[in-house]
Amino acid sequence: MKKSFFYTIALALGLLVPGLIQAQSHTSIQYSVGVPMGELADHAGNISGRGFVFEYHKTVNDNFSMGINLGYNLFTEEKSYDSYTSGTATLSGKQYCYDNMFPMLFNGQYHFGTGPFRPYGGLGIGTLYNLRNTDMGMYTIEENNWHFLMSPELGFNYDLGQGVGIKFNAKYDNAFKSADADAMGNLSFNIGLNFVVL
Amino acid sequence: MKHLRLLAFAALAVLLTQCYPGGPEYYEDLDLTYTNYDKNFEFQKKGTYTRPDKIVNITGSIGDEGPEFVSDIYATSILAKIDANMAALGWEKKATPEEADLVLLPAVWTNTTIVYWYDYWCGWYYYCGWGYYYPYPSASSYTTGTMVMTMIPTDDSVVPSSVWTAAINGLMSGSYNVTRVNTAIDQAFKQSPYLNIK
Repeated sequence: MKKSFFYTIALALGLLVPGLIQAQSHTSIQYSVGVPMGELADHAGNISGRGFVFEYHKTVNDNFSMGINLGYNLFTEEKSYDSYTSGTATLSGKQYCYDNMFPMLFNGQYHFGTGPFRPYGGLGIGTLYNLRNTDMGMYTIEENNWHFLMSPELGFNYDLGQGVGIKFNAKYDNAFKSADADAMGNLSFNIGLNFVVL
Repeated sequence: MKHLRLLAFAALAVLLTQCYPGGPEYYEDLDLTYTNYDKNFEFQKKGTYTRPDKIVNITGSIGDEGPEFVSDIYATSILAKIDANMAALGWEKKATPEEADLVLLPAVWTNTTIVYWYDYWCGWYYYCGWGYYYPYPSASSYTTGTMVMTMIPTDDSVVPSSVWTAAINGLMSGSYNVTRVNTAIDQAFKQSPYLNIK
């Protein structure tokens, strides 16, 4: 699945390259706050204040840009002392749960208007890597899973001048069910700076 | 200049996400209690048990003087706690295995884990981190203690096997904490309702 995804992206980029060679590009670094959803909230349900997004976009025309979006969010939860039973075995203790989320997207954004304040809507398709640790006592259960990912987003850019602007958006990372893991979601609110790179 | 700003933001983002927040604060946060039992064994048809007067300390070797035992200073309170829990569940203590249905065998051991870390990213004399330095290895260790309680039927017609096993595990604090041990023993019996024969 991952190979076919990357081949598709390479083909799409190949078709677009002639139009992008002379295009303006934007680079953005954003601070990200994540709200876990679905199965992710069941495992590590605290809102995450530890996250960031890196984005690089090429302008296709006055209203449309596309590029890559790479992010990271850390979700944690300390569960109070409890007992966990499976069959005839019971284990009691405190659980410390961690989820490291690495969304990697190829996305496009449609920008409305031409003034300094430009709202936009976008959609990204890519993959999510999840590194999960469940700690009990001196032991940990570590899981690594890849998910197919689709991420719609809404936000705005505000141009401050001199090629710098503020970027704010709300993005929902919808990670689909994989062979070894359930579907999960992350609603993130991201704010940062946007730089025009000519 | 813009590239330097982007690199600085990227470095800050990475630094902010390098360590897990929270985590265990006290030794008790790492205590675990595990139990398992034979679902085909009819505890309700039994009523008596016996146990040795000493707790074996498993060290991996038997010296010339035989196995080691836990000092009576600590063993007395542990055995008393076990007896109190068994009595609360309706079991009668007998002096010898010939008079009892089950024999309860307690044992303890410690395990020391050595953690060795070498900064392989700075595998040779190279600028790394805050300045030029020659990489050096670091090591630390921690010791965990485990107490196991096993119940074995004394019936000669039955092949000796454990019908109930409890294991309590925790990080050694360097001083004996009777509260932690008693709490863990209570939990082992609390999560074994099938032992209640009242």
